[in-house]
Amino acid sequence: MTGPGPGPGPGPRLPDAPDQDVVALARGGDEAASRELVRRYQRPVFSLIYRMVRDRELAEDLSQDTFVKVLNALASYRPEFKFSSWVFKIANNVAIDQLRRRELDTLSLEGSPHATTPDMIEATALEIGERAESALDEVANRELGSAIERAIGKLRPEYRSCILLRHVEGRPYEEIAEILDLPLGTVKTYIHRARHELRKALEHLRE
Amino acid sequence: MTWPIQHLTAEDLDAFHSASLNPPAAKHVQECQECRALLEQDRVLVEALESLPLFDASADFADRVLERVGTPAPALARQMPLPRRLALAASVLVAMGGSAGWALFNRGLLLSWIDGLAAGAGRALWMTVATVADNLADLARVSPVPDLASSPGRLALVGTVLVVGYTAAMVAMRRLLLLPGRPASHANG
Repeated sequence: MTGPGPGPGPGPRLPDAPDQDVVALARGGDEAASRELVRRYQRPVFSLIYRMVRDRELAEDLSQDTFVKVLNALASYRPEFKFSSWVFKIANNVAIDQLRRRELDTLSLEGSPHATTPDMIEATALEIGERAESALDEVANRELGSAIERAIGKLRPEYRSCILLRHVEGRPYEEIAEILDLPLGTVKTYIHRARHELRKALEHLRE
Repeated sequence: MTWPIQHLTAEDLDAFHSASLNPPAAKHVQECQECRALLEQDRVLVEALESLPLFDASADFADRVLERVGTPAPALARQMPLPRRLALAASVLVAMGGSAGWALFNRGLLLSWIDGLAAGAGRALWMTVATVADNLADLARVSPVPDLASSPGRLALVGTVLVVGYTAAMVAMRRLLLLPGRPASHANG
């Protein structure tokens, strides 16, 4: 999505334009460009925050907060940095701040431990996406997917950010270090510890 | 003498996932059942993580974001349905036509109102000017102002001080009244 490209003006259509060009248009007050930036990143940002806070409604609000901050601070964005890293940095900070405030750091797939009624439990449970596979594969994958979601929810928030950015978002170690403002070595350690904890949490599935 | 067994490190696991495991580590994997099992577990885990689905926000997500960002609100024409806009336009036209018609048939009354208003405004203006002039005249009698203007040099000095003071006051006022420019950076969330 990023990379060199023609400046704002006659050039590729908005959906095909590199991030930096769309950002330049959005900075100039182009509403369509702002909308395009939201469209590009709303799924990964919402997914990251949802997996961090485990509450759909809260994740929606925090994702909105993220994009409001992104769009309001476009003037301070420095184009030499990758735009996606900047967006994820703000999203992660918003989610971590919320976790610190609400202490929602050990949630389960079945819903928030703070949920006190069946409706709240249902509202805070993660929905596992449906996949077009054979029935047996689907059952196995759903079981594994559910177990992983549950195990991710039990990780420390900083491990959770790292593992989601690395293996769900597919970000390289260096970019994760930049997003989380952590030394590269720390990021690698967190990811390996998180994988170790997840392997342990999934051991029962192999039996 | 037996050498300590060198099992796979975290870096080796990463190298395995990127298909760049070095030959000594690859040889070790062939010989060590424990490390083979670890690699297999890690492979299954990483594949499962990478296949986790992304979630969709609500359909009106972007609209709600843009509303909060302060994007210019849609024009009245886009906010209001067409029948309501037509009704509003018709009401304005009727009101304008009605007032013009009433003015045509009540010119005398309208002119008397206008004359009354103009006379009142003129009286108020004259009273204000007269009061300010009286106050200034009284001030000149009791204050040292006449002394300051007694020589051309003093007059020039006083004039310069007044101009500089006035300019400084205007600049200060402008700074006070200006709204902040750009919003503060939120890069750190």
